[in-house]
Amino acid sequence: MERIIFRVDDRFIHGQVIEGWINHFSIKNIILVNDCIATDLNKAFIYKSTMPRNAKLEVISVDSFLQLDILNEYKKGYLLIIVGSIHDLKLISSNIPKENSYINIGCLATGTRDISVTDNCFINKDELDCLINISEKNSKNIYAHKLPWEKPINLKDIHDTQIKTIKMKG
Amino acid sequence: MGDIMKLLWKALPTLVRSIFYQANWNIENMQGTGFSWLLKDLSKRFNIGVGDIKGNERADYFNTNPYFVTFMLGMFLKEAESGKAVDQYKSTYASVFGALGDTFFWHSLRPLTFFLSLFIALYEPMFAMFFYLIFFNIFNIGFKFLGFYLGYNYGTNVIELFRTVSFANWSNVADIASIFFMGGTLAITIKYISNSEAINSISIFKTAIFFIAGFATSKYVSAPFTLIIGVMIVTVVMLLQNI
Repeated sequence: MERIIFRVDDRFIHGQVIEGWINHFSIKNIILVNDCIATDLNKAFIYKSTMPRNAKLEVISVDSFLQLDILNEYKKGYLLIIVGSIHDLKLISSNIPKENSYINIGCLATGTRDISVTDNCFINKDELDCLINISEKNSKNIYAHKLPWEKPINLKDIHDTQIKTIKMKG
Repeated sequence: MGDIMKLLWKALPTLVRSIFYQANWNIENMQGTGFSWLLKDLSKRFNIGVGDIKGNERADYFNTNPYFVTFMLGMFLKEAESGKAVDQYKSTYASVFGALGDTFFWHSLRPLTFFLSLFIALYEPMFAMFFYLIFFNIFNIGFKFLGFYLGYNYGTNVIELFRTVSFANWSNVADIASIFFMGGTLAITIKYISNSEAINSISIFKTAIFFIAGFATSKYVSAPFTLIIGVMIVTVVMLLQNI
């Protein structure tokens, strides 16, 4: 697994993130990028309270993240960066390092989303296009899986299947 | 003390219902329907208008650790009574309790219960079976009842309590205890083997395989099934010693 992990998860920090990612890779630095939580001290405090020993959570806004020099400030060990939506991932995509980084899509609730990627990850057509765009710009694949040891689903495969389906219907 | 009992007695039917609230779990809103069902019942029992508890009107997306749901019920009740909008913390607390609960119950308590039962099963297999159910459910029911009271008492500040008692580190303590009992069980089993046959690499390997299988099973399967598998493994280990 690459050293810098970007995860899209609308529940931010929950059991899968703590047990599956933070404890599994012994991640010491976690950054939660969200404008609402960064300005709400109570919510930030609540999320920080869940951190295992030796793990440090920083809650910052999108703008603050864009000014961050990730590779220089976090030179050693794993770094987990969590965003709550594909829209936020797009906003911070210019600061995704070309090397040593991995983009993971975790939990995204159904809502109006109609494409089922996994049993708790749903996206819509616009979000899928956005992910493919990010993937192409950063020259790296984006994978959906809840936990690191699960079989990752390449979003490009989902995109190709969608295109095939549209062509067949057309 | 009287107030606690009064509160818990009044909420008892809702707390009992909370055992079944995941029955309508679905990928659309996860536990949302069940949580809404609990809130409706709670608002009826405490004479709070349905509209006073936000999120009650519709089954929104909701997912947390099932053993922590009563903390949220207590919190909702407290905030609804004081006229505060608790719903803005609904998703935050759902995620956070999911994280704390999954780490403690699934990662640590279940293996610990398994190893404790296994340790006891070496001497009293029948008692071990009951012990598993009793020990695990002390935490299950304890969290359900005490959680409701604490949620009601602390409201949205309940996370302070978790920090005060260093709850995030409880799983480390449980893990250490699990390893201790695993080692103890292994040592006693090897001693048992040595009394019935000569210790050799095959007998140690055989025992180790069973313990690894038991440990893995306790992590990935549901509690009652773990109990059955655990007892079966111990029985097989003991039977093999006699072959």
